[in-house]
Amino acid sequence: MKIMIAYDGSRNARLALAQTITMFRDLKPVITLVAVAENPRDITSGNEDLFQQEVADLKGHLAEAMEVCQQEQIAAETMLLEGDPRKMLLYAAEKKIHPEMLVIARHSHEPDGGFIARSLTYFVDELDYMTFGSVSSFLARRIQCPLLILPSR
Amino acid sequence: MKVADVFHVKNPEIRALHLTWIAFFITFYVWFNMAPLASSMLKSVNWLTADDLRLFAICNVALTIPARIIVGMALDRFGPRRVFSVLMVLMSIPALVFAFGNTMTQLLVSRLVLSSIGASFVVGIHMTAMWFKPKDIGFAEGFYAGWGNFGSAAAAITLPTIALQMYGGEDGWRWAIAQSAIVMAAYGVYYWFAITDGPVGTVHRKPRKAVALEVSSWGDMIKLILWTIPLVGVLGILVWRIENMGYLSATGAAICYTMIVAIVCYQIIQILRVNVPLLKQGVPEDDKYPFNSVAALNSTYFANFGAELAVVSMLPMFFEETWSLSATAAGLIAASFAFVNLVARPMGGLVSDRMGNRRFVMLSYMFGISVGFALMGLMNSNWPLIIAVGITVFTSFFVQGAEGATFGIIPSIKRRLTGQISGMAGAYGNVGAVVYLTIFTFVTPTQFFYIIAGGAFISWLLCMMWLKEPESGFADEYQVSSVDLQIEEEERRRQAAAIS
Repeated sequence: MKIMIAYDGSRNARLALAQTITMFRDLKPVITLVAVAENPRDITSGNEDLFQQEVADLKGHLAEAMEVCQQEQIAAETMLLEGDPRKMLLYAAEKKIHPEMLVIARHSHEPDGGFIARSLTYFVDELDYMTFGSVSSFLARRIQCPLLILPSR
Repeated sequence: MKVADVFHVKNPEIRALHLTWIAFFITFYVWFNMAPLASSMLKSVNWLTADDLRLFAICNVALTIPARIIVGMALDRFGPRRVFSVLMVLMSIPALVFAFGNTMTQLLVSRLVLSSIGASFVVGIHMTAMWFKPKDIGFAEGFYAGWGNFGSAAAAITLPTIALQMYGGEDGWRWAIAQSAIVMAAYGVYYWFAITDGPVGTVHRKPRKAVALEVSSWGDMIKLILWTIPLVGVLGILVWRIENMGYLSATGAAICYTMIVAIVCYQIIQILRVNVPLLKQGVPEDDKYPFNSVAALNSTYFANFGAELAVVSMLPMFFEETWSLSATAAGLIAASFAFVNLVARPMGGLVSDRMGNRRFVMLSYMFGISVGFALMGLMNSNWPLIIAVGITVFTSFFVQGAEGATFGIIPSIKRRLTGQISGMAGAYGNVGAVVYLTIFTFVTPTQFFYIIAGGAFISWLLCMMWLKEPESGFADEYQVSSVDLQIEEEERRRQAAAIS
């Protein structure tokens, strides 16, 4: 059983990895952890250091996740891509990995702050739903393999 | 980063963002402090004609392009904080000269020098880039650009009131302009002490000396040369116009032409020096990028930002004369064009990010611009004012959204060259402004709107043909292109040499 997990090192992603291992351990899964370094949307070259920092962080997260898999004795591999996360995850699944299942953790956008901040966030989220903003909804509409979306807790 | 984060002023990066957009806002306020007061100037200075004012409007965007080049060099050396402060303090001088100028020459020269202030955009963008994480940078820069650009609207709204109500009298407009200059100088001093270049501990990294844009093929190099000529060459139009109107002798004009040709030749030589060796070696497949996309984006910025600068300079007078309004009311209405900036420009970037198909978003926006300006061309005094204002807002929504969308694509063409590509596109905005404003001295406002609509339509066609949906880099392991690796290697060697 080949499982691909979209992994960015966040708390939700770590939970998703743990849950996946718990749920599918008996099926002898081969887990592919895919991280995407988002291209900086910067129009100068002043941001390059910060981007390299981000890439290094992601590499670190992937290495940690690999260790977790080794401790649990699960076969795993990692992949780090660069670009628009939505498109790159789709590309990796369709063209490279061909997983039998894709697992993603849904991010929660819990609005915080005052009334203005909340309504602003709400408006932008609404725009996300109208288009296909979030990674999970983008993939849900396009991916050709079974997709497991784990809600954040 | 959520939109709501802009209220967390306690965060140092948010604080920096606010300080910087306010600085940009003030520079734009000063940059466009003439158009709203044009009619007051005509009334109080008896030897000024409407033609002179049109000439000033061109001068107001003329030297921005050379200033961008100089400011770019200064940025690499001194960092954005110092450059921004010095720029604001220095530029308050020509603004004051313009405020109290009594001869044609004084007004003309001070406006020309003052046009350098348009380079402030680049400085703030650099500052923003040093503070924000790559994930949030798109939003931060959109916010900065949108709210800073609003300075031109603020000038249109407030200046007539300040000039007529606060100061009043013959010289009200002079004091209004002087006030904006003094505020700018004061803020420049404050900015120097209020901010640092990036979070504390950031080392200001001097980028690799880049004298010209690198390209991927011989054909692209020819295209690059062709697209470089107008950047400075457009100033030739200005010289010719000033000479035509009789403010420049034939000898003076000849000297200016020679200088322009010399600068263009110098730029072309630089392009050849950078690219010929590279192309002879052969550019590796993984480092190629299509120059056509850059050309298409140059044309979109020409047609949207250029149009915005041009329209902002003539709109107050257009409303005033067409519907015979007061200066204050016309200023308020014309400001509606720039008011939309607060939302439209960040939204252009956002939509471009969200839609997943940036090319389609860009095309839709450009099409919207041509429709909008064509409608504005239909307007006349028989139209109800409210409809005219509605169409103006609709058009500006597309114009500014397209600016956001243009800068939404630029970072994904070729990451290593983003700074230079965006510099070129940004300069094309000013080329557009100079070209449009020169045309404006020959035509009526109605014809002018049709011409801008035509420009946007041509740009839409160019995008149809040339703009490619940017591809992301893809490799099994995250991999920089072979040229990037070479650059890193050079850097390491240099450091090793420095240590030993």
